[in-house]
Amino acid sequence: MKKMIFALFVIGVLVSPALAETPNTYPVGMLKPIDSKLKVKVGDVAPDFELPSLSGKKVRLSDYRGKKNIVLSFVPAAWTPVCSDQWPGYNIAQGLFDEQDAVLIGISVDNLPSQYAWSEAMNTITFPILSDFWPHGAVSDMYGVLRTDGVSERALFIIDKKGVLRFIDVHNINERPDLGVLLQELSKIGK
Amino acid sequence: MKRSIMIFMAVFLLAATAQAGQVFPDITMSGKLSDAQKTYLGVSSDTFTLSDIKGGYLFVEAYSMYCPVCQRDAPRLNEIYDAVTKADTEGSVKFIGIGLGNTEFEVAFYQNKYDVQFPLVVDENYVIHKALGEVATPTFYIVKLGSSPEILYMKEGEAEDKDLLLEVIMEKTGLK
Repeated sequence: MKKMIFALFVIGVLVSPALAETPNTYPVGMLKPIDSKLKVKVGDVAPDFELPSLSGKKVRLSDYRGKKNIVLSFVPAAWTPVCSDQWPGYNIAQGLFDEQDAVLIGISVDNLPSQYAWSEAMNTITFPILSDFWPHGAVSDMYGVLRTDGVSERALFIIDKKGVLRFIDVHNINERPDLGVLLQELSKIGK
Repeated sequence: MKRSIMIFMAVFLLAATAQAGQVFPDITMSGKLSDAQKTYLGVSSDTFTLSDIKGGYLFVEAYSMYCPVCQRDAPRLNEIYDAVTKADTEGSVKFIGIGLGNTEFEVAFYQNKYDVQFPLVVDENYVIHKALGEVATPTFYIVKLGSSPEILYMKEGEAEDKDLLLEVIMEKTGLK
């Protein structure tokens, strides 16, 4: 077992494309790019959910209906390389989402304390972060992005003000999606 | 056995990373540069190599838009650039930022967000990142340009002490 952990560590160090020096991340190596099957498609009404957020309040997706476009950003896990190198970029780009009258919402299956510490280590993420910890990964599973090892995919969903799914990108878990592509897709749905 | 493998790995990784005293690789860089930035670097197109840059020294910031440390560093780097530019009356010291793993859109956003005045280039497919030995972000280099560009200084990690980094640049480039 120890040998396996060591081997994973070495492989992780060697092949991980993640760059950020901090926060300290746990090397996960190269993973199966996608390990789930979508349960929703473009044109569907986005399944509603309510999850606890870092702010202490519960966030319900349908509360935004008729008010804001939504970008859901599922990331696999706190303190892992690519995830720690994705949300900090979105954090400084929130003005670009505002321009599209959109709210960015981050979701991971981690519990709130872990998300809090991680968010602080990433210069404090200021967009809503929701915890899909319990029942474990229920929302990720509802969308069909819960992987077989219990973390979610690295996935992006754009939902318009009518609550309809307009864009889905279940991304290769090992790579960070291009922010430019996401914003281009967001601009297509209009304010 | 495990320990020896660990030591081997550490040595391997260090050896693969461009270090002070070594030659900086003649990387090919590409970005959307303004005419003023091309003039500043002495290059004629948006794609150029390190050896195309006209100057005595090159300060390189290997960064990523997504890196929270780089985000914190951005205002400090602007101040350092301003101070060096003011002191460098002959225009011998050039600055360049390389967006490791960043797309053209992401590099342009970072440039605009932090009002970065020096040229930034794109390394979307991690080609330069690999050539530099897969360094963490940010990593800073001071390179003496010439037929065999020498790395005079390399620092991996946050530029927390802005004044110290400025002093090192001034000293290594003969501005002090």
